Amino acid sequence: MIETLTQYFSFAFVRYAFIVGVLISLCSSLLGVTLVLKRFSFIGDGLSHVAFGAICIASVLNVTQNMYLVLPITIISAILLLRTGKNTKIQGDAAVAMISVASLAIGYLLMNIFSTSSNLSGDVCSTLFGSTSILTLTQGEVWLCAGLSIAVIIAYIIFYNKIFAVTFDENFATAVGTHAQAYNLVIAIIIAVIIVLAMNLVGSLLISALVIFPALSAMRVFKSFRSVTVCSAVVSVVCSVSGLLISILAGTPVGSTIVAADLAAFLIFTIVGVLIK
Amino acid sequence: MSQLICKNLTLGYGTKIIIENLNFEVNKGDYLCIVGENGSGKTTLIKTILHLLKPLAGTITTGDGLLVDEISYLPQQTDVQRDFPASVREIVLSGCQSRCGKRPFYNKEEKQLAVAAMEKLGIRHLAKKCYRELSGGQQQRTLLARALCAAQKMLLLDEPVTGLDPAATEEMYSLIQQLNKDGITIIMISHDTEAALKYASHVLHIGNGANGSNSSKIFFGDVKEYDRNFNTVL
Amino acid sequence: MKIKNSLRAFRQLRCRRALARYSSAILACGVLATIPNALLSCSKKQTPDTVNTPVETKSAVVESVETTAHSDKPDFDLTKMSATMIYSTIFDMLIMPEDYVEKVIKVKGWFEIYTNPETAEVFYAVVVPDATACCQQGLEFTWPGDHHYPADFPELGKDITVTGTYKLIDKDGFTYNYLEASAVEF
Repeated sequence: MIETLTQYFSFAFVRYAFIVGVLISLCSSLLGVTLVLKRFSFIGDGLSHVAFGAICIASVLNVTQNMYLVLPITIISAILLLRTGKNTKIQGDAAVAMISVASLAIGYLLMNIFSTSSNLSGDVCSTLFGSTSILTLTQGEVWLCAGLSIAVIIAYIIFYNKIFAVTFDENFATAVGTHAQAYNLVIAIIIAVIIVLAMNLVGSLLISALVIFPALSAMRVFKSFRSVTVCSAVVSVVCSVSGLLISILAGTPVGSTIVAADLAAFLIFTIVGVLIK
Repeated sequence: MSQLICKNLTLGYGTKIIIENLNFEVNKGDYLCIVGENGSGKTTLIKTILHLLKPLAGTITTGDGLLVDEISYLPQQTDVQRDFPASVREIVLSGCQSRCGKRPFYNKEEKQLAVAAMEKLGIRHLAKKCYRELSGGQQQRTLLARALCAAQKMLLLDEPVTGLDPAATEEMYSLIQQLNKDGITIIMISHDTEAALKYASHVLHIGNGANGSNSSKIFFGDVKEYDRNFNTVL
Repeated sequence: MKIKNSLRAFRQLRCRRALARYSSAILACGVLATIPNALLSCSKKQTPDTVNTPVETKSAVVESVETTAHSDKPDFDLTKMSATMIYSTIFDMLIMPEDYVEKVIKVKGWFEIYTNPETAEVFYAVVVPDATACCQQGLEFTWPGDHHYPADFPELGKDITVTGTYKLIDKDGFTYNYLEASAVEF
């Protein structure tokens, strides 16, 4: 098995897949803690469907580098969705459900009517489930993903204390003068970027798992916010690496294997949490 | 010069008016208790003072050297917070966030301030404990320490003893009284009129209007007046 | 009594919570150590011999329907890889052909043909699916020598293993990639 692995790692695209995979899973787990604690877990799902719709539009318009279209659309939707949490006629979760289902349906409809692709259901399937997307990145995409991930990680470290204050108690933060609205906006933009990147790793339907599972696993065992964040990052990276390894050795789809690894980690941490109490 | 002056305040949501023509003043070192029935608009008033909501009419001005962001706040706890995975130290430190401005990390001064606040409220030994494992009284003291880190001139408390057992309630009130004696102006919303009479220096009573009218029955004055006017009703 | 003892042991576990935390972090780092291993292999330029030694001992001798001088040992033996890797390698051959040109590839898949409607020329391809079989990659191959379609070729959709050299050709302004097969088994 080691020889097979060494042989696989001699391929450039495998090395890129691991590097990009580690970076993406690192950033998604960091924001996952905030999302879960603000009770916004469904946002990941909603935004990923919007991103899928944007990808469909990009492929219909024959845009070669579709990230330049998908990123702005997803960021705008993130801002709209996360700002309509309070005092709106349509409540937060109904708005997310509406937008996510509408983008999924219209995206698929447009693809069916206008697409020039030879294998339509294959393209849709691989975007939704991410069976080999991470292993089939072009050079340009690798640099873009790596750059954006590092930018997200740096932004998170800089804004860490403010993100904590806004997550724990937004009312208090606004009352004492922190610009909670501005930081909510920063969080929304970072989440949108992460969702678009993570679609390359696990596909559109499974992104929520990549964001939520590591955070939930960490919260079963650890006590302080910092240790929860660090643990969730470590769990996410370990699961992505092992998921990738298993999928290239056993020939399983990458996205589902990574999510299965995350689920296994969650079960282990739940058991450990119960035993430690 | 009063620290907080409210003139002709009208509060409400959209077209619904909850409080009309409210006038009161708070001086340095006062202990004001806001009492009234549910839905009479007490929380709305506090949120308006903190600039979380805009008044429909009227003005709120600060004076006597009090800046707008020197008012600290102890809100009611949400369910999300009760279950939050954070250590007590992290939560108390987050009160210093307003002092940071654009700076990303806390400096030594702020960390010492947090330790002093925890010391004052007797929770220093809980610094590393997880917030969700604390009792109701300990959680409230953590949030109070956080409020002290944020500002030390005026403190607004929104029903600080809700859900606490009698012993913890007593402890909370004596802590707040101690803070008042140390020079912090206290404005507290409470359902507990007995406590109001025992600890407060002034009372603002906001009652629902008689005969179903929209405007509420407002009383503002010091404790002895309140006692005379309202005790017979109670 | 045994239950009380084990309960006491569990309570002692609580005190070692920090130890459990750190050891799990160390385990994680251990697994992550595979990444430097991967990056180390970056520095080794991929040579056919070093890669093939383990593969050779396992692969059976390639039989060909028509014997050529001797069967080439493949630089990239896709028949030994998992479905995910096969699909990704063929995709990589498409977008980064310079890494693969003039290398010997061995690939297994379904046999398909494409007939050019204008010239009636028949192109042969071996089609490889991905793990979920919802996406497919095709690789064109030519079989030099005296081979005629359909007599010397298998039926459409049947399994076929092609060993050949990866080549690029410029035709009418487009670059086409294909395998020049030295051996075809079915």
